[in-house]
Amino acid sequence: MRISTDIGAWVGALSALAIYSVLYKENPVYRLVENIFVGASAGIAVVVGVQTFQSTAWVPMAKGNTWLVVPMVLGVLLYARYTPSVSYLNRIPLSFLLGTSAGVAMRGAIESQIVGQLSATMINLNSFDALVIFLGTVTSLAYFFLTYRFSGRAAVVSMWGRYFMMAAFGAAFGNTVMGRVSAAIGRFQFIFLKWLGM
Amino acid sequence: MDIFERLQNLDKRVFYLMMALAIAIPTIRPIGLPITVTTAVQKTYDFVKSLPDGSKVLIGFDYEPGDEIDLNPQAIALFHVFGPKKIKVVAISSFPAGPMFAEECMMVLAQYGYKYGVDYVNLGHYAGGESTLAAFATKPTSIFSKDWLKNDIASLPLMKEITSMKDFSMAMTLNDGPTGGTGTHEWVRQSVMAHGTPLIMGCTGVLAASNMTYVQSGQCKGILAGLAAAAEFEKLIGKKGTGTVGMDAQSMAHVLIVAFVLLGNVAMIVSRQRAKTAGGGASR
Repeated sequence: MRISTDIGAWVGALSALAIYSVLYKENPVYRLVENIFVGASAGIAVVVGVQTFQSTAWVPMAKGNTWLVVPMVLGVLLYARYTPSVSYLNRIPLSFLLGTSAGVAMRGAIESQIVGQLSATMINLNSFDALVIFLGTVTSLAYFFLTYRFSGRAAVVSMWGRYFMMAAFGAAFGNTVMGRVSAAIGRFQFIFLKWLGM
Repeated sequence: MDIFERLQNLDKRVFYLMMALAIAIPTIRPIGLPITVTTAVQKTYDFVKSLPDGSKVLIGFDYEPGDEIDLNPQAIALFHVFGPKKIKVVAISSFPAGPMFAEECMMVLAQYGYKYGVDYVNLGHYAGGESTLAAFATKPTSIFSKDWLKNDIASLPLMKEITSMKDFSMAMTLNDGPTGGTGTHEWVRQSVMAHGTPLIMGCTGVLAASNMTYVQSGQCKGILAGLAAAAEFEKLIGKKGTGTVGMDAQSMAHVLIVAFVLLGNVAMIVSRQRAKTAGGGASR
């Protein structure tokens, strides 16, 4: 066992242990580290924001790209919401942001998330997987056909849709558990292997 | 109070302790449980292996420290495939912490004689999510004037070879969803749909189910989901890394969770049956 002499490893490991201590009981050490985490995150966000502003707007503008003053003014207008008399100005950059974001996303969204996904269900039903995909899609969509109430034998279709969705939720939940366990494994590896050198 | 009632009222700290042991013991003393390569990981490996020698790839390190354990091993395993083929790597990140992970993972490339600026570049963090990614895909220099190490982009030989997303033979996003940055959907739209650049995904286990649809539809060339995929990829390249080490702990933790779920349900069913029987007896 060779314990790390890196101060960063010590800070990281002790902070992780402090955070895990809440699993036993709420305590002041946990609250201290939690507050440090929140403060550090906010601090990093400010630094990153300033750096981004410098590298993408201020420096290029100083080098002659004077048109960059337009997005800079739009950015300042976002803060108009904090002054009631001019708060309406905040809508200009917001509208611009929403419009451009929607436009950029729409460029590929219809193809990738609608057409592409739909065509992936229009397949030869020559395998069990293909059959499951086809039936799962059709019955799940039938479950959300809310303008018509399925009854009698037709109700079986939406019932199977519900079962398919339950299976999907189960798979998603299982993956979520796996992800959370992975996060714990990461910290344990850090504590035992990097910090304690076991 | 019998065993079933005790199980239903178990102090959750007992479970936490058992979970800690289930993870800690295999981490310190790996068991070496077998790892089976799944079709999705094999498909990803085959695609990456088929890339021409010396081609260029773009990798988005779009994650934060909490996802490091899932995604760092994936990136490192991938770099071991790139290395012998001298595939050039450009890294970008939509999360502030991403460039640090890129730097950490790309240290592997030094084993294969890679030179910074010539064979690999870490461009750093970009703000603005999908809009910025779209702009980068059209003209990289419109977003980055300096790299993570503060070098002028114009001074880096690798960046002179790249004028748009089309110059990359493959793109990859390592992410845990788009919150605060760009995720799989954004990369599919801006890489595959807008420029026709093949994409593979590296994601946390949480996103496996939702991202898998892009592979099934053929829109993405492959997917590595979670620590398990990293371990499988390590098996394919024949190098044991943190993914392989972590899989023992992951398996033990899953066994414990499944055992508790089963025990909890059995205890609940038995308790209900007893209550019903007791209630029925009283009414008679």
